[in-house]
Amino acid sequence: MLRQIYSVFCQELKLDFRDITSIGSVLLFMVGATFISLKSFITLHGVGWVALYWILLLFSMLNLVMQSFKASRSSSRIAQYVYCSALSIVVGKWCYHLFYILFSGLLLFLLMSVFFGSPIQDFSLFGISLLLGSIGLCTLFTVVALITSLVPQAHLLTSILSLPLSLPYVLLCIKITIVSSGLIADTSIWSDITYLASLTLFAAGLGLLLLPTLWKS
Amino acid sequence: MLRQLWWKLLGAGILVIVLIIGLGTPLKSGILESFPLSAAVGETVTLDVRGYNTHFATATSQSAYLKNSEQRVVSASLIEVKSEQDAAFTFNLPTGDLASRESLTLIVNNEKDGSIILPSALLLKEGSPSNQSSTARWEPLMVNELHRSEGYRFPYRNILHETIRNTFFHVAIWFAMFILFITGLVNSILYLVRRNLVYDKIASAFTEVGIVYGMVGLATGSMWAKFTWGAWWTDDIKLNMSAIAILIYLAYLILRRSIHDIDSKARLSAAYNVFSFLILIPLIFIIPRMTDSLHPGNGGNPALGGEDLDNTLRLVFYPSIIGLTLLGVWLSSLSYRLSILKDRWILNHK
Amino acid sequence: MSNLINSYNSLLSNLLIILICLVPQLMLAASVDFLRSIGKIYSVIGVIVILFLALIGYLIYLDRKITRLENQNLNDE
Repeated sequence: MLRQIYSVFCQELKLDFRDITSIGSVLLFMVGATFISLKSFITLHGVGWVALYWILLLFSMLNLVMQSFKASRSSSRIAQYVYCSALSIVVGKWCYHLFYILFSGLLLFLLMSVFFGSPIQDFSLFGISLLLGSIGLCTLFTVVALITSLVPQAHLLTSILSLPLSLPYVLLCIKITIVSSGLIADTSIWSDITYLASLTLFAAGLGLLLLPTLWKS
Repeated sequence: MLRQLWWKLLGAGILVIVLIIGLGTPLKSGILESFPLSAAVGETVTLDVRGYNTHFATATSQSAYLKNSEQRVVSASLIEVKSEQDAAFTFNLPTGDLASRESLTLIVNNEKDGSIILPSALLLKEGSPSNQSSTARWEPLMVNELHRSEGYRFPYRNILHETIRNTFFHVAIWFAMFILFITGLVNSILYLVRRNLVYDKIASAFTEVGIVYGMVGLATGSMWAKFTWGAWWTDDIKLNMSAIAILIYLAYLILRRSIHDIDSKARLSAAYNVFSFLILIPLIFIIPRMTDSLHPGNGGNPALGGEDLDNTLRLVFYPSIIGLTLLGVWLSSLSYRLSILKDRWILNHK
Repeated sequence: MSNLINSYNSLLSNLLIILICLVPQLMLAASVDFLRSIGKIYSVIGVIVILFLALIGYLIYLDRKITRLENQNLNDE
């Protein structure tokens, strides 16, 4: 089981990093988006910085997920569908998405710190929000991508379905990140954090529960 | 059962009664405004009061009080009634503590209107020493002197005024929407468990009507907001969350339209319905309570506290929910039959 | 099949009759409350009008679709 998950993860990784276009497009998206916002905002502090950070992250995430399950229809990945169970494929993809979003989150943080300067004061809290937010968004997007993977126009549908759904996550993440930047002092931030975590857990549990009904073709 | 007429007529009848009672019942008396807004300690001040639904002229025993924060009052020394709505009350403000600054509550009391209360009607400012001649004193309020208003009337609230009647339509339609969405959710779960396409059709019908109700809720709320908050759309958290909830359910419809295979359509849309409802729970119930809102019942309170919804309103509000829900079930049953007809049509054309 | 059509028609006509009965009530309320306009009664009237227009609009939409499908089904049979 674990071996299967690991192999799916590695295969996704290899397929994405074998050709330079994939990693290059991530880099280009990040740098381009940051540069456009630099040119349009000129300076960016506090709340604006945090909001922009999460919005850019959300879209880069969406970018990845939109092609994740669709690309798996291609011939190069058919092998894994034969040998691995549905659960391990989905968990493997989930791991890969998580890896990807954490990687791009750190990259984006680095870029925005260089261009705008970083407002983050409490790095442990920022780390928690990035980690929890990534896991939550990752779970959400994976489930939605699973739902839409069978539909002809999966590209469009994934964004339509997942953007409204991702809102509570993004709002909570933005709130926690703002607190971590020291703009607002909030003593009840841990209730937000547990709330975000429990929401993610529920989403993951429900996703696992629905997996057999979604994975049938 | 679903094809019988009685419950549809019951729903429509309840709505008619709700309309008649909800629009016909008068509001309790209230005070629209009083002028001046502030006076100094020890002064003699004449408050020009404009009432709403009041009977100043026909009432025989008129009295008026200004109440301070310690629940002590000073009563009006002179009452001049100009018309049913307009009256002037003259108060000799006590000297008491010269440096005190507080806002006083105006209580107008007669046997026809009961006791009418206008909070923070007059701001008491520091007075100059020359005003110290006043002989008036703060006295304890004689509660048994206050009249109660009679008959079945809706409460008068500042800012809201007559729009308090919107509770029966705007708030009730949100409740009905939730009942419809939850019915849809239950049917989606039933589909996932039993794999019967009928459940999928019922779920889709209920969700569709729920979306219509949600849009009506947004539109009516926008209307109400324009008259009370002054803008069609405010940056209120409940408003935005509701709009997003409607977006989520619209996405459900789009998902259904974009899949052509009947089986996978049912399967995926049922899964999405269950999943999106889970995300919706915090969106509607938890996040709005964590932030400030213009809506009543925020900051940790239940949405329908005793202050906002009194018994006279409840008597119309709950039937309104039932009536709108029955109407929603009726519409859903039509939508359900439509989907059956569609299926038959597809069958005929294959 | 015609049975089905009849049941739909009776339902719709019932609802229409009920709503037609409502209109004078609404107009009465509007005219009586003209003096109460300071109390923002127009907002309530607006809310009720929006509510019933939307519901009737949805009903008409459903009705038209059902009628079309029924006619097509009848033609096919």
